[in-house]
Amino acid sequence: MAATTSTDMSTLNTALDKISNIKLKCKDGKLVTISKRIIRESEVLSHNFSVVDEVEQTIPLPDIHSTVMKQIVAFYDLIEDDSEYVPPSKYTDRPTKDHPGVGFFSNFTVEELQALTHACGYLDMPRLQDFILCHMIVDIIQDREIKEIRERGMMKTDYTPEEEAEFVKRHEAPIEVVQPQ
Amino acid sequence: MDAAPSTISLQRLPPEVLYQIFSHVPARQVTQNLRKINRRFHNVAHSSDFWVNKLEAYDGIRLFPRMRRARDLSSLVRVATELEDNFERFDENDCLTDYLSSTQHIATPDVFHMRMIQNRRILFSGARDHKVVIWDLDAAVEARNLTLGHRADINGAHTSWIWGITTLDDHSLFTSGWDGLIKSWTYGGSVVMRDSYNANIGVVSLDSVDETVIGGTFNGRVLFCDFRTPEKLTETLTLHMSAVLAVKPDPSNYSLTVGSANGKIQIYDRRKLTEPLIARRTNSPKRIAFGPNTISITSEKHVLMLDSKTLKCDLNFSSATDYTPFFCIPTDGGYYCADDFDIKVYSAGTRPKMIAQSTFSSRINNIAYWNGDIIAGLGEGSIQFWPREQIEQGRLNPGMEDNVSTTSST
Repeated sequence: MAATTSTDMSTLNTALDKISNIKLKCKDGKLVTISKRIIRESEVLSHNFSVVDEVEQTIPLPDIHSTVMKQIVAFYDLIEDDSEYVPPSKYTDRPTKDHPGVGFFSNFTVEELQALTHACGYLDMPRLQDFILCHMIVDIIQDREIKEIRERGMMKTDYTPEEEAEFVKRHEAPIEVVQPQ
Repeated sequence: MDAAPSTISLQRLPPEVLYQIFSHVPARQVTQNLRKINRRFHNVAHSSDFWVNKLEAYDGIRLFPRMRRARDLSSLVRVATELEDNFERFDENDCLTDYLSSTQHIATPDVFHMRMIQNRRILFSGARDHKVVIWDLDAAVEARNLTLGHRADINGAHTSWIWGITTLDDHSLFTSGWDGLIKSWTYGGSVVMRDSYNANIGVVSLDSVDETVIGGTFNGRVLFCDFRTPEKLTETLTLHMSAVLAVKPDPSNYSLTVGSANGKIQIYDRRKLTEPLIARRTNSPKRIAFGPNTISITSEKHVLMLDSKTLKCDLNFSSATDYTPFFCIPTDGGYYCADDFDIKVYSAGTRPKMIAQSTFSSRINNIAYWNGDIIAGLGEGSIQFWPREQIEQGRLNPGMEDNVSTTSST
């Protein structure tokens, strides 16, 4: 929510006060009702409301499928008690593993996550982006050994056995020492 | 979260997403684990752009412009790692109030020197009690007691205050003092004086490179001594100025940085000492300290951070922090400041932010830093030691009575 200025925010609030029911017309033609909070958390949507005098209550969203938009709505329903989002300035400030927003995505497929990633990039939603791209994925890789990260992240090594051995041998070496061939 | 196995394939994520994920992972894990996963991960971890962005997204950090321009991967990784370590160590775990302490000296320790000897951290401290004390810091950490790390005393090492200590190898120790002597000692099972050179004036700074011991005198001379030769003194650089507060040879090349009490900082080529390569005038410094690629000059008015290669000013620390400590050591991840009874730790870069502060019952006269180990010398002769083990383990002595009673933390 950082991109809107105080003037923009005032205009946005005025615009949102006039509207009770905001719907997005998605790529598949279906309408999805969204909360004012989603508007506020999307740089793109909030900008749209803050600069246009007459805002339609139904906003076309031709790049995002309704299934994806519903997932975003469900995510915001889940975290409705969370305060205004302040992006973490240190990695230690990110939400803990037991935060419901972190667990929300744990059963999503790769395709669903990629569609969500695309949607939150399009709508410019920092909180959603951080939860999807960082918080949950970081949960897979942080404080885990290499083998476990590969298993959980469904990744295969493309290093040669010799390169792997070199990494083990130089485990504590400065970063510039080890270069794959 | 050890719940159901993830269905995410990190293999297919685009590079920009990987960059963002990595920025939320501690630097240590990026370098120790993530870069070894596969080549894509390796490419992110070895991207200087990634490290610059990671650093500058970290709590308002701003790198020195020269560091941002150079994009030296190794330097950036060191800064990120130590910076994160410092925040966790001092801000999260309050480790500045958790230290090992010993009173082996009975007067102010003015000089510290540390060297790895047989894979152990050996500290040499010299004080105004004319004594050099040798410590095994690994033994101190193992025992959670600095006094139990005490290895040897050289009582009466000099007949006056000791100002300089350096080593050439695991068994060659050199000391200098106000008595005008540079002494050579053999260090092993015991400590035996081998030889000495009389400068006839206090030798107030000391360092060594190759086989040469370099001493700075109170009357502005820099002495080059090779104790393998009968004469010992091989060369003299006469600066015609006041006390040489600091001499720092660079073992990776032939440069020698010399700082004097009249404020002149000069870099010489040790092979050709006739003219300095670079010179800069500062306010008369009280203390000069060397960090990675940075020299800190502390005067009455301000603390300046100079680029150690060009002597250009990277930062007026006092203006940036509204604080002028008595002594300030620049490190990769921050600044360690001593001022009267306080020690303060600041974050790195051009916008230093205080991470922690602790107040002691005696005046802090000296502070030193080596790769995560911090040593302070207090006015009444005690030495405080914050071991690097705090980085991994947090507080070592959370209930230590002495620590609680003599310090307060913000």
